Amino acid sequence: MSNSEAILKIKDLKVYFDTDAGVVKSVDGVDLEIKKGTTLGLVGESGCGKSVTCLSIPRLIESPPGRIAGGEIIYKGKNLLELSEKDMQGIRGNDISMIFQEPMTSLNPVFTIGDQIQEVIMLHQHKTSAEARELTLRILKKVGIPSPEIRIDDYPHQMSGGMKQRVIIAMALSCSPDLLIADEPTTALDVTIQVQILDLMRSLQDELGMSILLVTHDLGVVASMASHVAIMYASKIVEYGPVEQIFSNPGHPYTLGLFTSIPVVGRGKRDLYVIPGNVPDPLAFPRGCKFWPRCVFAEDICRSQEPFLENIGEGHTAACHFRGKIDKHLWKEKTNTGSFLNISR
Amino acid sequence: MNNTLLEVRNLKKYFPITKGIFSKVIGHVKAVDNISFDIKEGETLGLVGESGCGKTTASRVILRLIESTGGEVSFNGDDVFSLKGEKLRQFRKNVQIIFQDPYSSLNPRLTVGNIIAEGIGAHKIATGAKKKEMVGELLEKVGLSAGYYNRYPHEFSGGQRQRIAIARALSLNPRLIICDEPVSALDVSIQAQILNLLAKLKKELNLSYLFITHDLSVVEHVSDRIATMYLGEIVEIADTEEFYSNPLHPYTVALFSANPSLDLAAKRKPIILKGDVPSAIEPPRGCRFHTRCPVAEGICRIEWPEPKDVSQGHMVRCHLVDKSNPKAPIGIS
Repeated sequence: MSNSEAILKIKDLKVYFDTDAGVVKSVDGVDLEIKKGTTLGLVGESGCGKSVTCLSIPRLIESPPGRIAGGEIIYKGKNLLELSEKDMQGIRGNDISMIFQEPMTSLNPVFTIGDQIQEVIMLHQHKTSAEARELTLRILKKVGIPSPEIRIDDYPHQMSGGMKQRVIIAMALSCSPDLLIADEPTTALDVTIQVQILDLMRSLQDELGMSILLVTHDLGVVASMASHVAIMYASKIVEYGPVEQIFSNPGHPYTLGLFTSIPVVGRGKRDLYVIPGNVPDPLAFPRGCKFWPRCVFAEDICRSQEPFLENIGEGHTAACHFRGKIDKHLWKEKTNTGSFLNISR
Repeated sequence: MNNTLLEVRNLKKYFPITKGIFSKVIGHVKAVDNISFDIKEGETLGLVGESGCGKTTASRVILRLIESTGGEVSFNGDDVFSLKGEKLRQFRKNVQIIFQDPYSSLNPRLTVGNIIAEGIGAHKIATGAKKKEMVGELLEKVGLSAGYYNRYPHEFSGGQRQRIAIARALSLNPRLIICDEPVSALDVSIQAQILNLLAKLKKELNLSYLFITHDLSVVEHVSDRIATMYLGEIVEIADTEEFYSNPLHPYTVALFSANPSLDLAAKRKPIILKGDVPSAIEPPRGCRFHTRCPVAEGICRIEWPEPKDVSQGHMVRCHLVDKSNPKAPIGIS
């Protein structure tokens, strides 16, 4: 995996929104990298800037109020932020596709699903409608919709949530993109449907060799899908690395807090660890490290200086003054969680 | 004191489907079909299942928010469906509910104080300064400041709103709280706060919960016993420990395997159920799960499985589970 090149490199990306109350820095210096054919899990809580990061890659930030205030998005060697709108249209759908969270609201209720997928194909690949319909049938079959020749003329309301999400995946894949951005693709679905969709995404990835940026708040989904993980907190990436590293040896106190605050089957009924305080207001981020008011380890340096992503292991970076050297005994003592990390039973 | 607080027997709720100008009934959605369970005092029963399986409808019927089609519910020995007048008022006080979405379950035009005080006023428990004092105590009990009395719901975050909803549920000193997916809409770190709060209150006030969720990790954390629901039926019920160490129904096993695990080492292959939950209008004949069951046999398609008690308190509805040697017909590979 190490010799494969990056398909997408985001450098110091800044996305700001001008509001009446002030400038909201939704994304404030994000660095990310996705290697070809792999899946990067982007994890964080609501409001941390995950979705804005995703939307800014195909340049879908509504402006005004939003604007990309700085940074680079290098896709296959090209900086997407420097392309003309017309070139960008060629990239969207063809090269980079997106799946949104809500299958219920991302389809147009007044067109059949067949029409909606064909539209994408005709727009991007200049096919006749007969060819496009043929292709649509093939894709619907590939994503596991039973009797596609009948369902192709269905309207969205005639389908279940899982089926609609398959249609959206079919639409996203209709032009065989190289990069798929999936923003919480299974959050609105039931668990048995979720495994179906994740399994589908995995097998399509194997088949087509595409790269996936998977945004989720569910660490379990990350464990089953991703090769690398980026943890986002308050508009920044606070930790990045291979999934095994992050899961076995998290280097940022926030990551540690996330892991210890979720109930895990078999861990028993003791109280869950609660990360104290709340996510900071994006209009008034604290000075220094943005996590310090909630961090059990915070020291003077954390309150005054902002940490940057630094290497703490092989391909493993964290933005923390402690550089991954978290005192495990202190963590136990301060958080009263019984054990340091009890992820794998 | 381990008395049975809530007893549900053969509860049914069918919604009629009508057609034409005379609203002729042409069928029924069998949302809840013959479910039975008990909740003891101070106990939490977890109810798991996918959307549309009837979890929420069951809770609405138990609360008498909607009329039942058949069956019985008794609370503290009283038949809930025949309660009237003062007794019904007492029942409403004793059983409260917390909803999933704290953004839509709080009236945006009322202050937090008025939201919480509404029940106190309606039941004439207190008025004026006394009422205000009670609300302040409730706010503090759920970890908010009593000074929030005059604020509006939009000023609060999701987790804080869920605390307000909990304070409202507690305002009448209930004995049973129905928690309908109380943490599903919350972020993980907030989810932990609310789960801890619910556990603390249960201990302090000797509350019972009917905890409805689809999250198997959450349900293990909070429940003493767990029931799995599928297409209007309870297909398995057992003590939490037994439920997790020896799940028997193929649907329960599939749910477990679908539950995303943090354990990277256990490279398990999830059991992927085919298709969607069938329609509750015409549920499949025989065992309702047979259309998606990976191990279904001939009998499953014809005969409806009777509930089997395989051990103390462990009931399962599956033809393929042997009563004398209870083992799940499929394992998590």
